[in-house]
Amino acid sequence: MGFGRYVSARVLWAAVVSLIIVTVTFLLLSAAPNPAVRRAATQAALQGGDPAEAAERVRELRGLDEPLYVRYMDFLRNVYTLDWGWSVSTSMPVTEAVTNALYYTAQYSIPWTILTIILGPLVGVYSAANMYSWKDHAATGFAFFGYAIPNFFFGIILLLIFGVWLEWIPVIYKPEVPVFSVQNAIQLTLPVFVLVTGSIGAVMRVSRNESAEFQNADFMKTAKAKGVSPLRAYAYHVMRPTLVPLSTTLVGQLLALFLGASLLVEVVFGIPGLGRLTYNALIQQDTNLVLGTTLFFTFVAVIGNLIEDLVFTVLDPRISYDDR
Amino acid sequence: MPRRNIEDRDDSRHIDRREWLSALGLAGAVTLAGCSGNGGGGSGSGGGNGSDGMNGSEGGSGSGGNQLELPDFPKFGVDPLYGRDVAHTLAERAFEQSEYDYSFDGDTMVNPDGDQVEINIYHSTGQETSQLTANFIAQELGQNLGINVIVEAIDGTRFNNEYWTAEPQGGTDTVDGEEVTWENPTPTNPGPQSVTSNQAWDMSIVFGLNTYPLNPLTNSAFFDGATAFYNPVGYYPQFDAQELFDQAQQASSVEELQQAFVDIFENIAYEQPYITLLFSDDLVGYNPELEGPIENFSNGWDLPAWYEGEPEVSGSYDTVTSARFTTLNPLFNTENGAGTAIARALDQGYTFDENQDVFPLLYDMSTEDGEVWTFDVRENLQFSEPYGQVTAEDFVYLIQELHQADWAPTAASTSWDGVTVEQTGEFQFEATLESPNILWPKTYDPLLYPIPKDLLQPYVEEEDVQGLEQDEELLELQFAGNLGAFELTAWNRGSGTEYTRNDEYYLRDIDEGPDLFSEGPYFESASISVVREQASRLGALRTGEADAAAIPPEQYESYQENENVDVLQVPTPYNTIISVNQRANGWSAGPGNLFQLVPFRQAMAAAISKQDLIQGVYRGLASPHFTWQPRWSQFYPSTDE
Repeated sequence: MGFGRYVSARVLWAAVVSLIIVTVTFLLLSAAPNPAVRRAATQAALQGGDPAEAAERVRELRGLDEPLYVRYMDFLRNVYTLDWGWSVSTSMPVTEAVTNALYYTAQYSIPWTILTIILGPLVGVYSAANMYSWKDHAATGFAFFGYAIPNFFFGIILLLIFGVWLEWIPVIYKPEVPVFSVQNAIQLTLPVFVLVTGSIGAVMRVSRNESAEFQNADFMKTAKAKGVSPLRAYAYHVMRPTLVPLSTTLVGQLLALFLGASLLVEVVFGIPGLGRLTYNALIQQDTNLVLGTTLFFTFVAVIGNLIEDLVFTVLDPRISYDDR
Repeated sequence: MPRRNIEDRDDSRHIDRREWLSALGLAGAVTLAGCSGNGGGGSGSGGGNGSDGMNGSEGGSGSGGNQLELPDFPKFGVDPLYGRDVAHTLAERAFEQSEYDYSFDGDTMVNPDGDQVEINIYHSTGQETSQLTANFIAQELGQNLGINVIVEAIDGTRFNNEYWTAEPQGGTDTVDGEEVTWENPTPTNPGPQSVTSNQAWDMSIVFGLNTYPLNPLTNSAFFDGATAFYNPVGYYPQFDAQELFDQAQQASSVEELQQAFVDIFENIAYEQPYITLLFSDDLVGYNPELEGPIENFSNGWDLPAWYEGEPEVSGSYDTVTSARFTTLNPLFNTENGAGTAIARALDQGYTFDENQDVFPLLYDMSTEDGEVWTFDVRENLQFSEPYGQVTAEDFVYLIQELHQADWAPTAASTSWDGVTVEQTGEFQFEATLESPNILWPKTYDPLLYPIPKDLLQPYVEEEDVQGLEQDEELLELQFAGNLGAFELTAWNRGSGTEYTRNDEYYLRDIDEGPDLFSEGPYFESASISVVREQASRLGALRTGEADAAAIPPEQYESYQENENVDVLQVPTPYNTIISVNQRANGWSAGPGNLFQLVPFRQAMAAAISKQDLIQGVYRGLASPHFTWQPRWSQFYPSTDE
């Protein structure tokens, strides 16, 4: 199988996966009670009206009395045309709510990801190159510290020191600050630092162990014997094979970026990002928004897996396109 | 059914409790037996067997047959109605009334299977005070009643959706010996005790409730039997609450109203529908440079006269809050926090000054008989273009076509039920109530936001609720004209609101109020930041990034000593209570539901030391709560004081 066909097959598979997920979501939703219908019935009951009649009226108004396949086609069209409905917990269209939140999440998650991807393997290879020396221990200690300390706690402590005591950074996050400004860089320093220290540990340890394996490989001996500089030897001959297994971790890292790990940091630093949006949507039972954020993460995951499959083959040409 | 024991037990101790007490010659005190009673099967109709059907002559085990005297206005949780013996005595009365064989094994309360009674209590997640309070309650119920209480944290919204509210179903049940129908069930009073929420629960301190000290008539929403709007715990009053509230409604003076409420509040203190614990003050930290904040319930009513340093327009008034706003659409908002955010840019009809008197903002209200109320709208009110002058027609249209329409679930729709509204002039309209109410403005019911008729009309014609909810002009208060101290410039859904000074604010041209109104507001801008993390909110207050923020009681002392912060104790009408689930899915400790029995709720109230709770958890910054009214209210019963 050629590279072109391989890519086409993977993209097609990603599309099928997304369709399956959307279909399952639709079936679950249509089986669940509709909050708008419930609200209408309650309102009618409150004002002495007939709850059943009010519920029926809302069902008609929202097209819920249509056959299942008609609703399914409507749902598919809306999902793929990004018409994701109205979010009652934020009083704006779901796509706008997700886009707005993504705007703030991206501001800290992009530097976080880049720094993690660059610093993690670098520190790991550096540790491996100086294995069991004090430099290795220091780097390992730093990585473990960041990994072990809970992000939200670390965040509060840093905020207390640099925000409240030293007053170097503002305590309240200001969303109106321009993205590319010194003010924004200052207010994002702590969240990015906390997140990088939290995520660098795993990457650093994996790359340290992986690269240790390649340090004394035959091709490194050859390279050294040929007089290749240590920097070039590590960059070209150690880093590249190290990154192959690591790329799985990195893609996972990229995906996790947008949700779980960032929620607590967003809460501590008051950043109105995707983590908080999703959490609030769940808590406030904002069905449309929950669906919107879920679909967003689903699509990110599907695309992430696709990228991962493609990156494998680029990083290591020995990986076959067959049987995949 | 254990519930029947309650109903059958006690016809005598209702509305006319005082009457038969005087017939017995007992002045101000009811004598109750130590642990006996009529077992729930007694007629309860003969006054001779005591108010709770307990004749006071039969001693019982466990409490040594102590006579326990409950006054008209019992104050549980303080001496002498506190402690292990009192709690045991009262609990044993409940056991007698219960169909099931609950008892004490030594100091341990056991269920019919002989296992220790184990129930859970929910507190608000992430709130230290709430958690400490729950732990204290668990400890006291363990020590004084031998109950094992499991403390669990829960998010307030989740608790509200899954535990506190239920699908309104209605139904019929026997309450206090009479067949009663739930005709207008609501999510917070979905029906009889058999109608339950999705999730089972025993006890909760997640929510405190308003005690409406300005107009206690509103409290009928909690206690008015099956017609109560708000009864998530499934409480059946053992006194004729509906009739007592109806009588109070007829009062033609405040004195008469005070008199009418004595019975109501004594009955509530006695029955403990919710286990009353305390009233904690709001502790608010302010920028010490700020002139204006006061230690009063009405703190903040005169914000346009506040200033920093000198009374000149400068700087920004920035506050922080923990809860984000779901909507700023004034028609549909029901949240306190969002109400504050709206109030920065849009005044309502009136407010209350530091003496709790009505202060007219957009309109003044007057009445002669409490039945027909005249609203006089100010003539200097302007909406933004193209809507122009605010007139009485805008208000009348809003009330008739929206608040009183059955298709539009506005936040104020229940307030205008049964009120007849008529425009009587360009700037005047009248409202006629079904029955007189001299304190109508204090119910907050006639409180209106001004909304332009022309903005509403297209939605009204189409009966388009969704369009109305999603209208951008309403959501972003673009129509507010000169009707607010500030103009809303941005609402970031996740992080709060920003405002700039409204140079045309109508309040500057009114005759009433402080002289400082003539140039207010005295800030160039304002903001409300939503910061979920308490440590971050307090940090912002310390560094001066925020001018005001709430302070938790456990940190009161450290902030009081901080020169960068002025801490004010602002009394509130909200109470701290234990809600006990008297519905069919309450009481997970065994068969039946002891929470439904008055003596058991009394036992719980008597098992928890209010003073220790106030000192230990609230650092003394709270006052004990005995009945449904704070002590500073003019309606607090003065008997026994």
